Amino acid sequence: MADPRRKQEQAYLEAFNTYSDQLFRHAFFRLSNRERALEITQDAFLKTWDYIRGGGEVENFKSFLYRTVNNLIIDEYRKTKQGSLDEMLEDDTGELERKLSEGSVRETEEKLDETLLFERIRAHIPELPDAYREVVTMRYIDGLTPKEIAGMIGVTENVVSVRLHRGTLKLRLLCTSLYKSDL
Amino acid sequence: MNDMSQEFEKHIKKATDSVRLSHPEKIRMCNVLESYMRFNPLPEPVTSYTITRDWVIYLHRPLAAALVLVLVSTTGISYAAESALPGDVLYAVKTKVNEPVKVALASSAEAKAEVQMTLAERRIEEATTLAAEGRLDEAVQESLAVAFVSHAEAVAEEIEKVEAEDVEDIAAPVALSTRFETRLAAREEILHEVRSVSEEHPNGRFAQALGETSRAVASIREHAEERLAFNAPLPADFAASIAPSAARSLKAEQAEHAVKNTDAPAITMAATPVEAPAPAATTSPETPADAPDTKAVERMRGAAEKSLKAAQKALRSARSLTKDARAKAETDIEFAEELLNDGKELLEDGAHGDAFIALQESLKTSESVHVYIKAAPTLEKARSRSQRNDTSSRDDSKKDEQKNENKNGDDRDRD
Repeated sequence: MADPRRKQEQAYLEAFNTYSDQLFRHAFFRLSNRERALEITQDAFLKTWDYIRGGGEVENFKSFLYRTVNNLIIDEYRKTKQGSLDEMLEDDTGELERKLSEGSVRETEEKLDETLLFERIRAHIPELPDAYREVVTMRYIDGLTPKEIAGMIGVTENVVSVRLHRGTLKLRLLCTSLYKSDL
Repeated sequence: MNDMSQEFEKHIKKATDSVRLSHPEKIRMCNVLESYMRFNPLPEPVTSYTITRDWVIYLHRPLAAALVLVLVSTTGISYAAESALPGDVLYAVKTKVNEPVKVALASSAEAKAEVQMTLAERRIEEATTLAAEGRLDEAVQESLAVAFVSHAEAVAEEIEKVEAEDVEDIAAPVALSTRFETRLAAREEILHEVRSVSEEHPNGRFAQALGETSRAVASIREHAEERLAFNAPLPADFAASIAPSAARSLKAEQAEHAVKNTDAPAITMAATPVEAPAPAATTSPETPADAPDTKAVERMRGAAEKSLKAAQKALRSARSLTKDARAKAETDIEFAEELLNDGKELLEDGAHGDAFIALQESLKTSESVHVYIKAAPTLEKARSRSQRNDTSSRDDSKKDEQKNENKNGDDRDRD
């Protein structure tokens, strides 16, 4: 007789094998703290188990886990940071775009050694305002679709797209301007 | 620009891909999850239950245990497990599910001490029952001894907490440790006798752990008494200074290692070896400054009354006591009552020190008679079993038994 509990346990452990790395990566770039990221990843899995144990059905482990991690990260921000997420958003997209279209920035970016650029990207993601970092991480690091992201963080797809756009611009600028200042 | 953007987005992916859990991190996390799953297993499907030792054994968490208890108790397994012995399938349910729940449900340190005390006693009871059935082998002794010591240690810890939590209430730790000490002593004797009757070597690993713990508890009790600022040895005229019944108590105390026997209803069970009255003690009673305050005495009175009631109740509901055993228990209970009344009178007279001692003695008597009532059936079982063995074997053993009985008689005479 197949025990339905064994099946659930199996599915849960499989979800761990499949998603632990990307959840950890997500938490890592959101928190820029390896230890905390580890803890939050683990917490998310534990909470998910509690949910299953309490009789909850998890249809899609991926989005459930992401939502859980995201909530934990937001809790973490509430504990450590003041100010609403909106305050951290920047509206001067035009300014950012202008800067990027300047030839110098483009050139430097092209010239950047790939490994160096990667290093920059890793270093600067944590500097993004969190509303941007959240969507940029989900979209480009975790490979989620804007629709999925919208569902997870509870905003419209439009808002996700706007934040993605601005976030990417900002990150590019951060990566290249530092290069410039290094000169 | 768009190309550039897409290029950059790919770069983000590439740049961050290397960030992942290290192999050890992943293994560790996986282990945490797996043990969490074991401690907090999925609830059983209501339709079918299959208790496998496998997952029950890992139920250390009170919360998970509570959950399982709710599920399981509906099927009566939890209740059935209560009388399980080591080696039975349900024993794991008893010690890993039922008992942690009891501990978890006790809110105060004092309540926790009580529960742990009961659990420590249970291990002795189990050892005794197994001994009576001739099933107490070395391995079982070892595991029971370990479990017993850990419960006894928990009692000691909780008593310490009681001491620390309420510095005002100095009598509570004394009452707790006195009760525990007395009960241990009574159980120790019963176990000893069961094993002697079963013609086993009485000094096994379990008996050893029991003896060591008894000594440890005695020192805890002494320590707690020191805080009463009155640990003066009983004055030589103590017996005369309080009601005559107390004199009996002193006599009983002096009878160290009195051999208990249901054939001797007159022997009190209150045989905890307490400090013998110092022969050189001065005749002057403690000065008021040394005496415990009214509150402490009141507390001890409360404890003694509670113990007496519990013992009376146990006697009323005891079904399978032999006539002799019942008579003996009744005598002891009367004695505990007398001591309690003595204590109350002394308290009214303002003799706090003497009142405290009388009440403490009453408490001891009640506790040991209580243990005796509970354990008497096991004792009977051991006796009848050894008799069965004897009648089925040669006459020699009968002679041996008679010799034993004579020896017991001698011991009694010495009392």
